[in-house]
Amino acid sequence: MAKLTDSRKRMAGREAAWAAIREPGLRGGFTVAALSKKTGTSERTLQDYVQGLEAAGYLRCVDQEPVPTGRAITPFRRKVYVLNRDIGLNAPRVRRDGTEIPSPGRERMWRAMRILKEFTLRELMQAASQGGPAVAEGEARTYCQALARGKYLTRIKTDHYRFMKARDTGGRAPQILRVKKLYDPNLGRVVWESKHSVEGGE
Amino acid sequence: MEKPVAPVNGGIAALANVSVCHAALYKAVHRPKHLPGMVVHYGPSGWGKSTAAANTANAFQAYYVEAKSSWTKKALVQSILKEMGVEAARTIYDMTDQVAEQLALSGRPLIVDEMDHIVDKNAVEIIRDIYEGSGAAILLIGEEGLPNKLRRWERFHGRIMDFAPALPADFEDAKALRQMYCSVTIADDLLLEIYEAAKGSVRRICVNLERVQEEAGRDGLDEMTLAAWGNRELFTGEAPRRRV
Repeated sequence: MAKLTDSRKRMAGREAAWAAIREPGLRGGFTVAALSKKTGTSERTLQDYVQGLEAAGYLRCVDQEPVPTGRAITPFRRKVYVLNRDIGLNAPRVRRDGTEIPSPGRERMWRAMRILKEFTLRELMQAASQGGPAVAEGEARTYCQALARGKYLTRIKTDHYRFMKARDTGGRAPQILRVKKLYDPNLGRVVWESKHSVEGGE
Repeated sequence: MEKPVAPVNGGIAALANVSVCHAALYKAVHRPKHLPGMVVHYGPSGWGKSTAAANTANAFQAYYVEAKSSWTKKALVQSILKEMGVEAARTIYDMTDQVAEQLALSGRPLIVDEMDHIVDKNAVEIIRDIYEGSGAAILLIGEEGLPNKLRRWERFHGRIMDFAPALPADFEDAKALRQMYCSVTIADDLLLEIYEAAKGSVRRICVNLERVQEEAGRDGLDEMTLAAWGNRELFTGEAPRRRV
């Protein structure tokens, strides 16, 4: 079998969890605690995702093992999971109840603009509205403006862009991040900045 | 996973070709096991194949690559892996395996645009390897002459389920393009003139819509009718005649 490794050096959230689940080390069965140790993400964060994966059939619970408490007999048990349905590199997007989360509008816009190469905002909205909820005009404009700032797009005229082939970095859509900062107007400077920023919008 | 193509999305109508392209890939994705899984969408340049591809790629969450004239077999598989986000192995053999495995596991189709370049480079066998290794639905997009060119590759040709020709733009398409391209109002009578001058080409409709908008801007009009346009020329794709 060919080895499918993610080309990214760093991953976070469900991508990191899914990559760890697919690795040979956890193929024999794992607990949320083991997954947490492997990915460095807290058990509480992972719990919802693992539960969703089980509900959707990606994982199967094969055993319940006692939680080590230091005593001979413990009433607590935790689930042991195995990979039940491998869909390859990309992590399944599921909610806690196992329902699928539709692909984000920005992902669909990114895919569409790379194929269209030159497009108007409305043309992009039309193509990006396939395969998920319709993309609103404001959302399309915000994303295009951000990508133009990042030199992925050049603006030909109002709401009309060209995709820069040289900046085609791959299949994953660039994200607009919201970095949290604490600003003190007395000092006139940023005194704290979040190391991990979260994706804004959507 | 994939829903039928929405004819009107966010208030904007899709071009007729979008449904043709979508239907072709849909057939391949949902084929009975004994049928081949490759489909071809072909037509003259400027007939809206890219728009169809963009819509279809999103509807199926397909992996999409556009072949270049300079591509080697290695460049082809490397590009697909980049699209997938997979760390590429060293040899073409291993990379082909990686592509096939990711397609098979994910169940997502592959779209190869500008397929003519792959044929000209004698690289079609690698597409066949990917297909054989994955059983994935594959949509090949190319120029008008593509079906003929593929006939030379007998073993490849036999794995094609359907040839779906692109349709010429109709008047409904012209209306949809007006909606996508114009901030100036262009009257139906002028649009009809534009549509007829375009002879089925989406690109020519767009070029003329742009031209009319520019002229309207110059004349200070926010609506352009056939009467206001007068006998100004529209781009028909033919070289301009010299008036000497």
